[in-house]
Amino acid sequence: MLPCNCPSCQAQLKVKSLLCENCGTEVHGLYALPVLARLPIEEQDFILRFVKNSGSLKDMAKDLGLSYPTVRNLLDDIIEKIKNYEK
Amino acid sequence: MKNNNSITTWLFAPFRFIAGVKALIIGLAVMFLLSILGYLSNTHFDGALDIHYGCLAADTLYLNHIIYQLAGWGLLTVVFYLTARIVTKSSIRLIDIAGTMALSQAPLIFAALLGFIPSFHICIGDINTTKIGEMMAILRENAVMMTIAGLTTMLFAIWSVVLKYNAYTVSANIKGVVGGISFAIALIVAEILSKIALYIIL
Repeated sequence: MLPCNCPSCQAQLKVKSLLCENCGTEVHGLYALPVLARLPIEEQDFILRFVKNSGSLKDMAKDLGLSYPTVRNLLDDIIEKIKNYEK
Repeated sequence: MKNNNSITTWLFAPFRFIAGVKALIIGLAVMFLLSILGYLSNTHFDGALDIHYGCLAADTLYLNHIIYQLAGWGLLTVVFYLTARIVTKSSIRLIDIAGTMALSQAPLIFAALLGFIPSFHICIGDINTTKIGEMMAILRENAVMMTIAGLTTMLFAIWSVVLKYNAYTVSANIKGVVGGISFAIALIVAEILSKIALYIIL
């Protein structure tokens, strides 16, 4: 699991280096995590399921064993978070 | 995603799992049962929040109990739907409000069953100031039973209100202070409107 927050102060982490496993090349810099990677793992899992269910909230509700408005509320909360990250 | 499928969640926030048409079908069955039990036990759910144990000597028509249910549920649905439209940015469905509000009446079944206990029905007749002494004597004589009836009935009324709050917050995705205040206002408005509607209809 990719750590998104600092274990010491909880601030958002950034990517400092990337490694090519094929040739061993390392790229150093300071890169922001992609928006989706910043979400907690449960919400990333929700988005994956949402895509696999072709974006159908009804199918998602069946899949998760939750009611339609509960699933819609979870999605609304994620949308709100993504909008805040993008600001 | 956590499912949190505990008994407490099923008792107080079942709308996490049930809403829409499914909740409406179960809720309508609950309301139908309430009308029958209310008629047989002389328990009147005459308003969005009301539970009254009527005088056993005074019979009411079964139709009245059907109207109580429809008026209470109908006005709760309309008032909470309009409130949600004003307060929330989320898209809401009328069927979710209608279904969850109908199902939130379920705890009242226990209040209706309590109505089969004869001593829950205390008759003091029409309030007559010239017979205030007699009325006070009846009230004093039944004080313990009235307290027990009041407290037990209140438990089921509170349970039903908690369900209504969860029905509203889940159906409209409203949280926090705004959710609490708008719920309280909508509930009071629904109660007032239901009393007016029943006064006009019956």
